[in-house]
Amino acid sequence: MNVENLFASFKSALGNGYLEDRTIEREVGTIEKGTVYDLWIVVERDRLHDAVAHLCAEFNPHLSVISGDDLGDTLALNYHFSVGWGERYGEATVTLRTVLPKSDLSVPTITDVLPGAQTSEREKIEFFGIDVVGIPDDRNVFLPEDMTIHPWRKDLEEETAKEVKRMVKWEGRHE
Amino acid sequence: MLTGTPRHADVLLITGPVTRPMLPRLKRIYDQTPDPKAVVVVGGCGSTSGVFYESYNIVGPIDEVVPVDVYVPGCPARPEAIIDGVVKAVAKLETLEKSGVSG
Amino acid sequence: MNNQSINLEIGQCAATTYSVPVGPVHPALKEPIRFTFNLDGERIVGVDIKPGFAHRGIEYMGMKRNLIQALYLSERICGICSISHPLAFTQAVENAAGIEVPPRAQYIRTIIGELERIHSHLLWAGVGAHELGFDTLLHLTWNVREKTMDLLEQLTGNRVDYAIPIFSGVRRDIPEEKTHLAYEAIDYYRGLLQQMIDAYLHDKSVELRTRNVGVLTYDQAVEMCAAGPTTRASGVKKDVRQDMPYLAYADMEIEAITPEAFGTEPIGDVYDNIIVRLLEVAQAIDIIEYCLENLPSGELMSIPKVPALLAALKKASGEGIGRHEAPRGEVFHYVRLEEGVEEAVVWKVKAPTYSNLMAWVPKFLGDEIADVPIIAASIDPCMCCMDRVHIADEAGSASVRTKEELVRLSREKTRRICG
Repeated sequence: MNVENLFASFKSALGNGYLEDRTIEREVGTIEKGTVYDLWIVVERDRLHDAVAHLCAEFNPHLSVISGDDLGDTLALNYHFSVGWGERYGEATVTLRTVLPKSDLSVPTITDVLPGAQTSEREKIEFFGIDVVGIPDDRNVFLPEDMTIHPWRKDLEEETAKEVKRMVKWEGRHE
Repeated sequence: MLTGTPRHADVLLITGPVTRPMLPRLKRIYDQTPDPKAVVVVGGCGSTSGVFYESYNIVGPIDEVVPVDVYVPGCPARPEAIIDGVVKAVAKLETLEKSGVSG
Repeated sequence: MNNQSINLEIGQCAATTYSVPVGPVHPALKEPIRFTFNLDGERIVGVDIKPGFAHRGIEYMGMKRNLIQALYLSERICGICSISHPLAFTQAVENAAGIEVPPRAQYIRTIIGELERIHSHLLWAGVGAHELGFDTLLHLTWNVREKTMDLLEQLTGNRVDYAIPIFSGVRRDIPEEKTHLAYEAIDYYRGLLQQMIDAYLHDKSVELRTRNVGVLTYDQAVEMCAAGPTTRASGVKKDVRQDMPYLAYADMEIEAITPEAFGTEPIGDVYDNIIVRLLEVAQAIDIIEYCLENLPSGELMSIPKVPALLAALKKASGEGIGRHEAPRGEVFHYVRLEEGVEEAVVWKVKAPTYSNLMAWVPKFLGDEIADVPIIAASIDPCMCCMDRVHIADEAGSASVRTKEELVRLSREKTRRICG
């Protein structure tokens, strides 16, 4: 896994859209130590689609899942990919991170380059209330069809709490 | 003996938590099971929500939805405990039949 | 959700497409699910999948409790692969917090993980046999599976939800006096493996029902980001234990198993899924034997006192990713820890079936309604039966078919084509 080459290829593909990178190296094994890598690249929201297209064209990635981080005024989306599968110690995780302002929670879809991303994008729509522009199907995937709460948003916690049913009264806690 | 349809069943086993979308289905299955019937709730989730307290998608306790005859605790409930619970439910049904009460 | 459309072709009787909703499923299984199939006669021409009937809000609840409570919650995400989530979650937190796991604990985690793989694959094989109508094979397979369940109970105290992994190590040891039980189980399975392969893979009826059924091509598997045996059956050599080793797998040469290991070209059908899973049972036995023979000595946890562990976790800050190759595929956990906060600020769980949901669609298209049980089961979705089928035809009359009837359809097909 040549980390430098990977970062360099993204830098040249994205130019100013490439904001930051981070490498986490971990040692594994108890007899002979091996190294595995978790790589992070922060990209501008408008270049996210290009970044994923570049990843798909050059690196044959696997998308694990998209996770989200409610940071108050902004919402960060982490696209957890992994590249290099197929040979021993060949794989590293590559997470593309982009930050959305709460005033404009929209992000372009990546399902045109990677159809398998649909489930994860739909999950972000329902759990964070974002808009994924261009997604072919934006229905709720895990939440019931009629549910309108966004459980992972910290600022909408009050609304979500209304849907929580406690079956047993606890002494001295919450209610 | 496990049947493929509630219409042939005497004992209804409800395992695990009941999520919001499953609630109407549960009521429907209960109504489709003919009398006399016994209901066994298996696991802690159905009676007290167990480890899933504080969820926005779980409803219950099950005995507020359908009448329950036997509670089998555990997380997970052991096979021996489930068998014990079903045996108790069958015994209760037999007692009800003998005394001429149904439902 | 009963939409129907009628297509009239000139010169033919009216050809009708039916829309068949199937599901949701037994509350007993992990993910009850609803399919809506568009049928043209008996052929499936469209499928829509709605999961979420067993969505409990695990991540939401987990982000409100301390990490050890969240660990016990993660164990109960799935009953069959109940150590897979803790294995990934502990790795994610340990990576975020920089906590080391002693070698003995890594090996014990691996042994229990592989035992789980055996019992999960045998469960799947039995269910597959049942859907096809081979109940004898179901009972034989599940009887064989009991040996693993007994061993797990003897080693950990429980048949499922073993509560073995904890941050910085494992909670229980496999002492010297108990290793003979594991070796007995290994011999037992080695003796039976050829019989199982003969029963499933060299049986003409099984082959007739599963060859070229539910095909997922190599390109489709990669595009849909499928994981686990589902993708390996299509020839894709993805296996986290091989690609990005962790725990004791880093000391072994693990190779992703594809149908090529059996000597056949991968097609990605149900038969290939059976090949991959049975061979993985053989691989699991070898891994367990290696771990037992090379079990390092030493401590079980690098932070043995729980209050000290909780304090260390509260002080920790950082992001961590944990991945594990569960019996169904890649399990992925991501956590972000903040200093001074007991809970995980972000916790994202990805179960393997999540990755394989989209892969279901190409598998169904083109096959018959009678194949629905076996194709649905082929990705091993932690749920394998559909209990209610509602069929509406153009006259608007409805008939409710039970799971029994759908399985009967499947078995009738077996009798039809196997003579």
